[in-house]
Amino acid sequence: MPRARKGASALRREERGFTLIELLVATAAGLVVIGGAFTMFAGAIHSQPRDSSKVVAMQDARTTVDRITRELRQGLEVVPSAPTPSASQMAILTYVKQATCGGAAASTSIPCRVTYTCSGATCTRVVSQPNGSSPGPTQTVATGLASSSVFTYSPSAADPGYVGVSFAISGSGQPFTLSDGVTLRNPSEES
Amino acid sequence: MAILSRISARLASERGFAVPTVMLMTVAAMGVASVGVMASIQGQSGVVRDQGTKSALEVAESGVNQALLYYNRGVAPCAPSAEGDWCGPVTGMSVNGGTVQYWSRLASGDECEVGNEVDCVEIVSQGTVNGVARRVDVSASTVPTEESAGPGPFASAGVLSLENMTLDSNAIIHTGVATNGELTLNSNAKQCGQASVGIGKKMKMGSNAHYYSNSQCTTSYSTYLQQALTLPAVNQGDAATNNDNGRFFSQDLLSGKKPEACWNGKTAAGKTTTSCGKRELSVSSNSAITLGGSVYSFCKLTMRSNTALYVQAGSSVTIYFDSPEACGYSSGVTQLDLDSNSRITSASGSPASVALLFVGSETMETKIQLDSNTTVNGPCDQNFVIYAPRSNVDFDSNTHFCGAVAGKTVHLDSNAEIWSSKGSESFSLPGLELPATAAHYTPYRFVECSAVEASPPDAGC
Repeated sequence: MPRARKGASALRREERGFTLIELLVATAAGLVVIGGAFTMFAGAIHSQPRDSSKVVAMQDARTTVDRITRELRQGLEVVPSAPTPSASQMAILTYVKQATCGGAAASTSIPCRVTYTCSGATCTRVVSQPNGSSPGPTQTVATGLASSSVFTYSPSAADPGYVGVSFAISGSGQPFTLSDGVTLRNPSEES
Repeated sequence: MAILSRISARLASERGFAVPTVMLMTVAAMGVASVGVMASIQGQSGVVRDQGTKSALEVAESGVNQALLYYNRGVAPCAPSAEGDWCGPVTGMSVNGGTVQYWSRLASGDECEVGNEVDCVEIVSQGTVNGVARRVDVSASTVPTEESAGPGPFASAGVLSLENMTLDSNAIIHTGVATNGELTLNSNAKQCGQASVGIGKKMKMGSNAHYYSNSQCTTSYSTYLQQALTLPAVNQGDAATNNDNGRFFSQDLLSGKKPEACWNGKTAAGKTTTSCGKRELSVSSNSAITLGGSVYSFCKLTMRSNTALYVQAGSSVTIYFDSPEACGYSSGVTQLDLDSNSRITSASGSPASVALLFVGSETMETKIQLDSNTTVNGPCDQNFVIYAPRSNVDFDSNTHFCGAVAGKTVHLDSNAEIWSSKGSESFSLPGLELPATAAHYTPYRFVECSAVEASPPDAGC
């Protein structure tokens, strides 16, 4: 019995609270830590929309580059004139999944002429008949370009076997460049 | 004292932050980190997808190549239930950690789009890498067998040797060369045209030797190729017995001194002589013979001192040199020996074609020697060919050769010079029997399909 009383007395001693000084020091330290964490958190929250916007711009650019490189990959030839291939403009004879060139989408591919024109901060795409007639609607495929110089040709623009595509995007003050390039897989087939 | 003791005890205490404070700090840190991590993951997911797409495309294209390899070996990769039907999927060889499977079908006529005279095969291949799938649809058509038989031996180079090729003392070659051995240029020698040596072999440049990329020897060059060279043996067919040898000297007349020309053991005057043996033609001292036949079979041709062998204008002459065994020679025999201003040329300078084809021997050495101001030429638009893949060919002392030459070894010395002749690149070896080959399919249409596998296999392509 005296043993149990002794134990209870010890427990009571252990339940002593913090002193005022301890609490003040702990509170001050806690405030400093929480303040630092909050500042970082606020910074991250502030930059998150900008990061998200950049990610979205990148994904948009990627989709466009994918589309162009796909059309180039299964391309028959880069049309040598009207328009003449340049850094900002290119027409390619390629396979497009449309029922008629410039018409409704289809599940099988037919040869059509696809013309890309980049001017200012925008690139557009038009699908027409292989001879350039009956153009379909003009689609805007890229915006926010820092430069309209998008296409490069190897060995030459007159007879390219390889076409490079490079999008310089100036989105949200964080510019970036997305580059790709492909070899035409159907170069020997005549238009 | 008690205060000091208390402070000391407090300092010695190992208690840290209270649990709620630590949890709050942890949550806040995780929140901050997660914002950055999420943005980074979003950004990088595009990169991963791009890499996956490109890898899957590569794998899909490898499936097409694997299928074409089967067809070009004459073996279908799978058996369709009916002609023109799709067969597959065939699981292809794994590439870059991806998986590939392909379907194929044979077609012909109108379905091939590129003409009715060919067969074609359509292959749809699906490559999958890390869960990203891509499908491609490739059509390939047969190339007619005549075209797939391949170009002639001199299509890419005018001078060929199975073993080493050596140019000494001011020797010049004005055309491309290819050897299975090493190419050595010594003492002011010049190689003017693309050079190719055997695999693992070298092009060696001696003192003042030069290498140019063009036949005019004006553009210095240093790049040479390494590739294997094969020269099929000469197949003379029945030329040894069925030939125009009987024309000597009744129809193929000699101009000059009759005793100075000898064929088959007899002079042009009809006298028996030991100066030439069976199927040996020997011409000396300012004499000339004009060949009017088309096929001759020699054992040896010897020309000396201002002699000439003319080929009638517009004629095409093939001279076979039989094997040393068939001619009864010992090893080291010189089967073509041109010396001292002798020449083989056309009678009028108008286009003619002369092919000197040497059967040679696998066990006995044979030689071809052009020496001392000899000329085997005409205007450089003629088809003069020396084809001797089992003989050592030696051009010496101011010899000028216009045409194409192939030998076991080729050696040029002392101002010897070789020019290519227009037309020699199209020379094809007579009697060459190529083994029957399977039809060769060449791709002519490539399209990407929707990524999802479909039925029939080319749906969505």
